[in-house]
Amino acid sequence: MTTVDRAPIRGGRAVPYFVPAALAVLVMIAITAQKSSQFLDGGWKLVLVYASPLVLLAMAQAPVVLSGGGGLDLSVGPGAGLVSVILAAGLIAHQISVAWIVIPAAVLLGVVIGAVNGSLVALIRIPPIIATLATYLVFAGIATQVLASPTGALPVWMDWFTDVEGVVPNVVWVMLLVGGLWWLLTRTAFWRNLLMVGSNDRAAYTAGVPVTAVRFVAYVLTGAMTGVAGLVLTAVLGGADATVGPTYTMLAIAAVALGGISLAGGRGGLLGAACGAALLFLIQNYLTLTEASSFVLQMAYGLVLVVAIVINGAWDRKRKNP
Amino acid sequence: MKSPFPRRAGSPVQRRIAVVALLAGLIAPLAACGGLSANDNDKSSVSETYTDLRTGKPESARDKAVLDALPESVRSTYAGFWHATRVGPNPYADWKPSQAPWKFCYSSAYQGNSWRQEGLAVAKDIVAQLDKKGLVDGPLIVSDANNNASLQATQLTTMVQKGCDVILVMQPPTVGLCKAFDAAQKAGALVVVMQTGTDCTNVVQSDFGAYDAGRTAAEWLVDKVGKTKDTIVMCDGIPGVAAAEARQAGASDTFKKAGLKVDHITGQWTPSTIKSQMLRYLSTHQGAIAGVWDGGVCAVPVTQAFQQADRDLPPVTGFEGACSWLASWKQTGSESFGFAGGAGQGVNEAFKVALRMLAGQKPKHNTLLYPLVQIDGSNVDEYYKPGMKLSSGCNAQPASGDSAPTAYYDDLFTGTGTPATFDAGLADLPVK
Amino acid sequence: MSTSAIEQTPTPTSAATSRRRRGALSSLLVYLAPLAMFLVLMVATPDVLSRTGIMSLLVLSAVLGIAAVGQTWAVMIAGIDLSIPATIGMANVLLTTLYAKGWSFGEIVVLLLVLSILIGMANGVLSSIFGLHPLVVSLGVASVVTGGVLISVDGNTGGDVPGFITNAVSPRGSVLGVPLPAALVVWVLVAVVVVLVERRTVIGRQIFALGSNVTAARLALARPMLIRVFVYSAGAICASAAGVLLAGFSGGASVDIGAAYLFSTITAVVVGGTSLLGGAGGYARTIAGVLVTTEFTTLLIGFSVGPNMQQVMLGIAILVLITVYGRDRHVAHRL
Repeated sequence: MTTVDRAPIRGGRAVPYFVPAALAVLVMIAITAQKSSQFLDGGWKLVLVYASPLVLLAMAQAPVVLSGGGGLDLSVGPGAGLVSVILAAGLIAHQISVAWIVIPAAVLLGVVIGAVNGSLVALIRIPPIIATLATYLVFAGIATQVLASPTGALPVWMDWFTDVEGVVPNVVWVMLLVGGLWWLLTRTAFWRNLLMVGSNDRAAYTAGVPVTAVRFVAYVLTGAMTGVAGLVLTAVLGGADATVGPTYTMLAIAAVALGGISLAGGRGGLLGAACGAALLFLIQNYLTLTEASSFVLQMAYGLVLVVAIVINGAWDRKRKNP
Repeated sequence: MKSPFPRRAGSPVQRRIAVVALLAGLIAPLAACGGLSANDNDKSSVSETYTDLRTGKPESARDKAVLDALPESVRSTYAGFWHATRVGPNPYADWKPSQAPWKFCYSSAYQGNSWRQEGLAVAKDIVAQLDKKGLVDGPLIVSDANNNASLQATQLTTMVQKGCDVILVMQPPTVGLCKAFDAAQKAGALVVVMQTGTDCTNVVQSDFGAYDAGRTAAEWLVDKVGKTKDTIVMCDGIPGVAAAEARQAGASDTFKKAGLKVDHITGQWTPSTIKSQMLRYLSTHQGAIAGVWDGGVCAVPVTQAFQQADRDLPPVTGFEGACSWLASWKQTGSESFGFAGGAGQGVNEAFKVALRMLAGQKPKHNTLLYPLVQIDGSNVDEYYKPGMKLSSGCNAQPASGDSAPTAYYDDLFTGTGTPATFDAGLADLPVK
Repeated sequence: MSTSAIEQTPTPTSAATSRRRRGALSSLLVYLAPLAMFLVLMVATPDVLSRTGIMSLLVLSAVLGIAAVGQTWAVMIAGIDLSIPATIGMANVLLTTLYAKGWSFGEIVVLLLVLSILIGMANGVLSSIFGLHPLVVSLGVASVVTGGVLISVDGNTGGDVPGFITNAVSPRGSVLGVPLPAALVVWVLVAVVVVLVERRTVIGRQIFALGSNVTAARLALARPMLIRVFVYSAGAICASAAGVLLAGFSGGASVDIGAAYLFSTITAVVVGGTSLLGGAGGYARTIAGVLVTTEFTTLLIGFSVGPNMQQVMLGIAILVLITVYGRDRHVAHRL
């Protein structure tokens, strides 16, 4: 057992990393509300429901990115897709559709997926991009093999996830639960170890931090959240479609970067990832509202992404060297 | 390996609380769910009144019953419908169409290719014509989701907020948009899904009979190759997409019935992928190939692969009637078979359905399948135009201007309202 | 100069020797792999032993190989280039549409060169300032490129292709009477130039230096931004060349035609054994990687493996190969 006392990461009372992304989200909400009168009047709830798989997948991406060493999980998209497909074709199609089996099964499947990635990256020491690229192919292939065509028969309780009748849409509770568990995790020493491994694994190792185990657990955490995302994805889609999952990977990575999380590791958290994902979705949503040509939309999306990370980078540098 | 959760200096009490809370947080949702599921064991949200989407599965008793209940005139077009879609009552039975002028909207899952552009161009043209008759409120509102289902759902929500009366949805994903469609329906908008099957039962669907088309092309190929021990190669589309699987099911069943040996390549509906897959297939299979069945955009790259691998070109079918396929046919002189399946005709048929419903007619079913016009050796000259090249991006449209004659729909609708008419101008689409 | 900077890592001699020995062994494995795989392919599907069979494989390899130049170099400077598919799509669509509009092939090539350099500059400059991760930068650039191309042609991607391009990628094409497809000749030329640049020029050594250690490279008077711009521009030019070749490969153009080349270029690079941590490897290894992946996918088709299982097996193959020769060192050995 090791004690990590010095926190090399936290320097004074600096502005938290996620502030620009959070501010940008507020700005997007304001201009969206100005463009569409219904947005504040309940419209935002539906937008949030549809954005929720991306938000959860961006959150899922955070732990591995934080763990550094080029940590990245390209397989989150197909991973969530595979969870979704197994739930729909493996459990629900065989009349095993009660919530107390399906929900733990989703998380458990996610954990298995995360453990596979974690073993490849932390134990076998395959560089993360290669390892998760390979599992991307494997998960996507298995998903399509398991479910050759989309299916839509879901148990009634899954409608809970997409319900927007409450003060906030129900998916918010899912995100808060995941975020809350994560927050508790940041109270443990694991969090410090994660940040330390992420910013400098050699220093962490010298200081006695079990680098391999920390990285492995980071992947398992990512996997567990991927499982939750897979469950929510199933509910939001109203079914399972093996071809949908993979489309989320690049979006999730872009969201993490937008959220101010350093892709080099060591800085960031779930809140930034969630803000980044919300920002990404709000931008796309806004561009739709303006009825710009869809091609302009795609170009604008790329420009916004580049500009946003440049601003983030500039701000980050200024923060480090005032 | 050391524990990743080493003891941290500081208050042990605080830490213990954190761990307990962590565990409690993990257990609580499970407990909550136990309660949640108590009431609704196993109830499926699928309404009993629609058939199930059963891609790749054999006909069920219920499918057969539904098929047999359809009017004789449409039955063969609906064959194998369960591979791509669900059939049941009209979900807009209680819907009261609003008075003209109407606001038309066009939600596309993706817009980045010529086939899609053709469809949108035709839609804009039709709306412009209806506008001249004073039937349209404002320009056609268009959105493109760049293959992102969640984004398309919010785009649909936006369209509802903008007051669209009719939303034409071009090839949405099979699942994923049902809730958005639901909201549109509740808001009084008519949603017509075009050119694909869907799992959603709250929309009107206009599509060609995909199984029937795949089967018809396969039958032509079976006739052409006769009795043979050689292999038929099926060039499949994107795995997991119902529209592709339905065509393939139609062809597979036909080849099986004819007792032919079948191999598959998967081209993903992408010419360069199809060609590289076909080249790989040809270089690993020197045995004779009796013919190739096209599940979409395969004809030209497959033909090129045969030519460039110095192999004898067997009969190769076409599918959607690409101009490049017609050019290839003229170039090789090898007879083929395909359909006039450009997106323009699909939009044309969808508008015909929508305008009937706006005029007060009611479809008997949620799903309206029509047959595609066939292109074969007897009428290819009507479709081939000089200027069509192997790299052309256009697609053949039915020479008569319609895939299904107006009378075809009379058997599928009730009511007597006279729909507004238009000329989709399909024959005049540019060759490019 | 800079190469010496790489070897100055303070490691015990014995460890360094053993690592060098392992490095030599892994190089040998990499270069033998295409041959071994070809033997397997030959035994499993003897049909492949025909001129067109082999030429087909080589043409497919040539397109992938040319597209993978950019990815190899990007990876060598510890980056990654996700804009390669978009650049391929750009060249593909612009060539066919502009050629149909009456532009000459030469004019189009000039335009593509200019655009490729602009793409390379965008990637290189943006990934240099503020230490932005090239993954996200190239993702954004890719979106801008694809959107821009679609705007410029208004989504209509069809057109016309010069006949000699079609001939260049035909497995039975010939160059000056020699029965070799021109695409293959182009690949060989590209490969020679790329490998020479890597091994015989200052900028080549700077690429290695930058990948191993940015600070050391800067001290060695290499300008990181300039090198990055060079690397990403060269990559974009090669991707454009691949896009042009693909235009002749099959009728019809598409902005998405490069989609398959995102993962396949990365696969070829890693199978070749170029380290994703930068500083080691090279295009010669990627050539081996390209051949192995092409042979492997052909083998799967020869065995009539379905598309889903093809994907799964490719993933597993990557894992196995990297486990054999591409593992990272344990943190304890990097102290």
